[in-house]
Formats: sequence, C-alpha cells, structure tokens
Amino acid sequence: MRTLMLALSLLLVSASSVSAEQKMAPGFEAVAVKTDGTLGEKVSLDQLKGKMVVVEWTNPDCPYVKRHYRSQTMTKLAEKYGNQDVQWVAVNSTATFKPAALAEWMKEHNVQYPVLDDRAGTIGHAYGAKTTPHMFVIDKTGALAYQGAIDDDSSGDEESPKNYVSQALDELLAGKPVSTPETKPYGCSVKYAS
Amino acid sequence: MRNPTYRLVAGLIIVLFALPGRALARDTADLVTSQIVLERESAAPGERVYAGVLFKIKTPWHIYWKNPGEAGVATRIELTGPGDLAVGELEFPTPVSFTQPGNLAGYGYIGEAFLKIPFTVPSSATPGSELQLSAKIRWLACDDICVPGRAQQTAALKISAEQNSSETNSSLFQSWEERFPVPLREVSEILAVDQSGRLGDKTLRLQLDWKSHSPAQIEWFPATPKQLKLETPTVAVDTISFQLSALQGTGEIPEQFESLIVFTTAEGKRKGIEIPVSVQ
Repeated sequence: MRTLMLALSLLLVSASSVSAEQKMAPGFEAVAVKTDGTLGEKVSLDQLKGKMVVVEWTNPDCPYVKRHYRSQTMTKLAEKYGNQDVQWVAVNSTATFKPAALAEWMKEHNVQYPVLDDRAGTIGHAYGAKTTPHMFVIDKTGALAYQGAIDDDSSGDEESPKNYVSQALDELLAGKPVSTPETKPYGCSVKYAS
Repeated sequence: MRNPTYRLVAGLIIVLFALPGRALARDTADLVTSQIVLERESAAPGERVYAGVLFKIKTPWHIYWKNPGEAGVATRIELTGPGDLAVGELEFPTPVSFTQPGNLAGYGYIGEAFLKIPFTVPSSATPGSELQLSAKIRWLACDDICVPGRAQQTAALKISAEQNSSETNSSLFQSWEERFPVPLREVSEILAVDQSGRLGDKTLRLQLDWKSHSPAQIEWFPATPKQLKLETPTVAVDTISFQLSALQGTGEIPEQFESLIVFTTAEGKRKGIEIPVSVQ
C-alpha cells in the first residue's frame, strides 16, 4: 500500500511539472544519408541538447515538398536560422525511399542539414508525423514549441504566406511565447511502411 | 569531355537513368479529368443556377473531400464570371473514407465525384447575351504517391428574359442529387440530434435519436475548420463523442462547423446527413 501511494504521488508530481502546453519532444536517433548515397553518421536529439531544433518531415516525391524546395523555403530558413544557433534536421519516413535518389535530391537543392533515414517509421510514429511537409520546432528546453504546417498557404497561391516556423523561431529567439503553437499540417500523407 | 554536344548527350542519358523508376513506369497521364456542366442552358437575371464539375478518377487513385482527413489537400473550384459575380459555397457529394499508410484517415472520392457551386445571374445581365463563366479547378490525386492537378474550364449560360425558360439540362445533376448530403432539418422524421458539450469541455457528445429505423452502423465525417483540432472521435450508432481544442493564433473561431453522418439505407444506398456541431 505504501509503495502504491509513493508511486501515485510520484506520478502526480511528474504529471504536474509538465503542463499540457509544455509537451517534451520525443527523442530520436537515426543515420543521416550522405551526399554520395551511402548512410553516414547517427544523429540524435540528445546530441542537440540546449539548441533549438527544427524537425521537418520530407519526401522528395511529394508535390508539396517539391514546390517548397523549388522556392527554397526550407533551405533558406535553415541557413538563416542556422546562423542563430538553430539546428535543422529533415526526416524521411517513406518506407521505400532509395538513399541514392535522396542523395541526388540533396545535392540538387543544396541541402546542408542532415536528412535522417526513417524508413522503419520509428521517428515518424513517435512524433505523429502525418504529412510531408510536417514541421516541429523544439525549444532549448526540449519542449515542442510548434507543430504543424510550414505555412498557411497549402495551394501556394499567396505572395507572402505566413510561415509558422519562422514565426515560432523569431518569437522563441525574442523570448516571447509562441503565438501559434499548433496548426493542421498540409501535404501528402507520410508513406509509412505500416 | 570537351565537346559541348557530347556533354549534353551524356547529361541527358544520366538524367534519364536517374529519374525514379516509379515515375517512368507509372502512367500518371489523365489520372483525373474534369468537365464543367451547367444545370441549365439559360436563365434570367437574378436567377440562381448551379455549375457542376464532374471528376473522373483513375482507380485506385483518390481525390479529397473539403476536409481531406489527416493528410491530403481538399479539392478546390473557384468560379468566376464578369464583374463581381455572386458565387455561393462549393458543395461536395457524400465522401468515402480510406486509410492511408501509417493508419492515417483520409476522406474523399474514388472513381468519380461531382461537385457543384451556385451562382446568381447578375440583375444587369442582358437577355439574349451569354454569361461567360470560368472555373479554376485544383485537386490532389493520391495512391501510394501523390500527383497534383489543375484545370481551367469555361462554360457559357444564355441569358433569357423570363425565368424557367429552358428545359433543365440536368440529367447529371439529377443523377447525383441523392449522392449529396441533406441537412438534418430535412430528415427530422428519421433522426434527431442532441449535442452536449462545447469548446472548453472535456468531451463533446452528439446523441443520435433514430426515430424509427436505426442503421446497423454509421460513419462520421467532421469538416473541422482550421482553427480547431478534433481528436479521438468515437462513433457509435447512438452516440458520437470527440474532443475539441482551439488552435491558438489561427484566426477567429467559427460558431459552428458541419459534419456528416453517413449510413446505408435498406435499399443499399449511401446517405449523408449534415449535422452542425456548435462550437461555442
């Protein structure tokens, strides 16, 4: 009985210390695809402790990803915020992607950030990634500060769409609360193995 | 490789071999065709007329409903005419649900879909003239890969002096009529719905009272607006429950949104009923 009471009180304490708005980002660890098409170094969220991290679900075959890479949406943001100590990481949970083809795409678009091999879908399922693109912004404490769509313009019609990732990063860097912590993502469904 | 032509040819060969094998092997031409159809050949100034678009979709591909589900993008039609043509809301026929890899729910159409949109003939339109209409159509067709599509279609409506002057050219409209959902108030003898809970409550519940004949099972399609997140829907014949939260910073939250209850009638036909969900 005493053990039960102890366990219950510990549970209550841990539950109350992480409020509903401060969900911690799931950990991840996977190998990154190298530009020569081979699999390289392991990248883990643990290694990035203390940094702000943007995790982007990608699939070069998805027309929404294609459109954004044509206009350099992600690569430009990664470069801009990379200079402000934000680490950009892309994840590909497409069950059947070929590293060689992915490497070609990385070279074509000058992708400077790691693109992780998640063909097993482990990281995708841990994050609940639904679409490509699907964006997650993790703050310096490891909490999920933003999750959802890259911007408010799924059809690509707008001249100046509102980019939710840069909005969240700007607010975090300025020490302000994130005004839009979650939106519904748009894009193709993540092509999971199962 | 100093000769530029040699380089060009070599480059082309490399590009051809580098193309993903799947794209070469799959025939994605004419995955989806669209055709605009007017409800009538002619109408008088001030009359309300429907424009429809018939989509033919190569099986097993699908296109999406107004709420695509957990992934995908809604089918869109923008209808324009001269001046500030008064155009109503795009109407979608009753969708089907499908599961995408990773157990992601999708709502949309397989085989074919007929969407329609009403417009009002301007009061300034001159009888004897023609009203030129233009439809900008966009969709996302997915199977295990996704291919977006777009089309521009035009149609002309003759302007008549008198109302109801033409035979309705509407066999397509008539044949699709029963495939559109009906508002709950039009079927009050079949079903009554009582909602408990609003945004801010832990759970929202729709209590369904089937007056005479309860279907064996039902499906529920919420058209959740972008300002809200709907989770853990539990659907049973007499109750639908779900959780609703506001997505801060996404704009003004609407007072209600539409959802569809879909069931199969005794005659084996899929029937959709529009159930509004009150938010606040």
